[in-house]
Amino acid sequence: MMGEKEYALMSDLAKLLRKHGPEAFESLAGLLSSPEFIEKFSAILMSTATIGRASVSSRRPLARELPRLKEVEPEKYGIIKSFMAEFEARRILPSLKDVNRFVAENNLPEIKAKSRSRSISQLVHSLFGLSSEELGKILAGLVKQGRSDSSLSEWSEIITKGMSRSSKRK
Amino acid sequence: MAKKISLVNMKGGVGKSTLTAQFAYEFAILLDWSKRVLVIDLDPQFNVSQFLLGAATYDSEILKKKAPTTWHIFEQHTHVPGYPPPAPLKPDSVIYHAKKYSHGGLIDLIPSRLELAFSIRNPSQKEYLLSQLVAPLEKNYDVILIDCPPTESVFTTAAYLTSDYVLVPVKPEYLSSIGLPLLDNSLAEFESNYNKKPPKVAGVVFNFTSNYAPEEIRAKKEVSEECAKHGWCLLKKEVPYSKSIAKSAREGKPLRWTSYSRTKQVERLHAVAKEVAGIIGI
Repeated sequence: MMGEKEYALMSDLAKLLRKHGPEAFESLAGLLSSPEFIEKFSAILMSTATIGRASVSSRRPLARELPRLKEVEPEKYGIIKSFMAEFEARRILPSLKDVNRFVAENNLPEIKAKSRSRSISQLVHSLFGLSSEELGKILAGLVKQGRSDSSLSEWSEIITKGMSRSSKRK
Repeated sequence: MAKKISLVNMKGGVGKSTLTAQFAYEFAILLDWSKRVLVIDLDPQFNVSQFLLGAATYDSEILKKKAPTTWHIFEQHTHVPGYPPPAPLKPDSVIYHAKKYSHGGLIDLIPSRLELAFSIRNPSQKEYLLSQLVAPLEKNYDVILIDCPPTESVFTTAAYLTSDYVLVPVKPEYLSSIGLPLLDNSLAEFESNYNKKPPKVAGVVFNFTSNYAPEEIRAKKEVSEECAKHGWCLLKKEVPYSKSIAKSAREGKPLRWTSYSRTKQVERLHAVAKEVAGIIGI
């Protein structure tokens, strides 16, 4: 039996129509008739709830959360530690503006901190909810961005290579 | 249906590519818009592709993966002797998903490449290819921004055939303002050659202003008179010169997320984007 909270969740899901398009909704409705899918879907909902509980506890200091993560998910712990090291050395997300851009581009909750240094706790807590694979990709992307991605020498190489390829074609 | 707007001026260096990228960011990022934006890079100098992708991504995702670009749109029917006849390009295949934001806004890109310049050599019958490719994609977007090259060519005609509106960035200086009569001539020629109404001029927008030099004040007066002559709207808001705008291209970020960009400058750019959004109805 659906209660008020479940109706509110369904209503929030319906609001995602614009983002994902009607085709995705129709396809999901079709999948909901399959018992195997229902089983998987239920498992996803349960694990999301577990992750959610973990991030609700974000008020707990990182110093207490990280050792717990190290025991439960050592791979994720390793990635998050690298993320923190890169962040502290300012090799990634060098300003609060970069932090805000990063959360907007990665579907993470908005950062309420007023300074970059204060944002780390909320940032790391929101990363707990991602899989190790997602985290790895995000960190690799950030490190790549941190290097001078648009230096003149890089463009010069691309343009010269491109022109020599096209002159060979002629 | 998407609103399609081309940034045009028959003069280079007026900020067409910069404004295309900045408007795309404004429309996609800001919560009250959160628009789905498609940017089409029609300039062989591929500046807007450079801005939105950065060197590493452009090299790895476009060049190395041989991803389709605007060049492929214009050359999709070109038959190379010794090779099988070319298959028509699938519209979705030319889209590169550049940015996606939490609240639903996104920026997709049809990138350009240097070789696009070669398409000018044999332009016959190519002008319709862009509008044909874009038509089935329109339902996926709220706004389509087309960055045009400064010289009149098959690409300008292709942009006119695809667009509902043109927006004309003008630098308040003598040579830049000469682009306006050239544009009027170009739109009139389009109407006569294609027997089709040209896209509506959404407006003329001053870019890189400083409100200081007498030359700038004189150029602004002349532009204003030229706009009145053709019945074009001169935007009330303008984009003042800012070092941060150049820096935002280097950092590959919107002005509002560029390091040390001033809030006032961000607000001014936003005001221009808002005025444009109001004119084209988004």
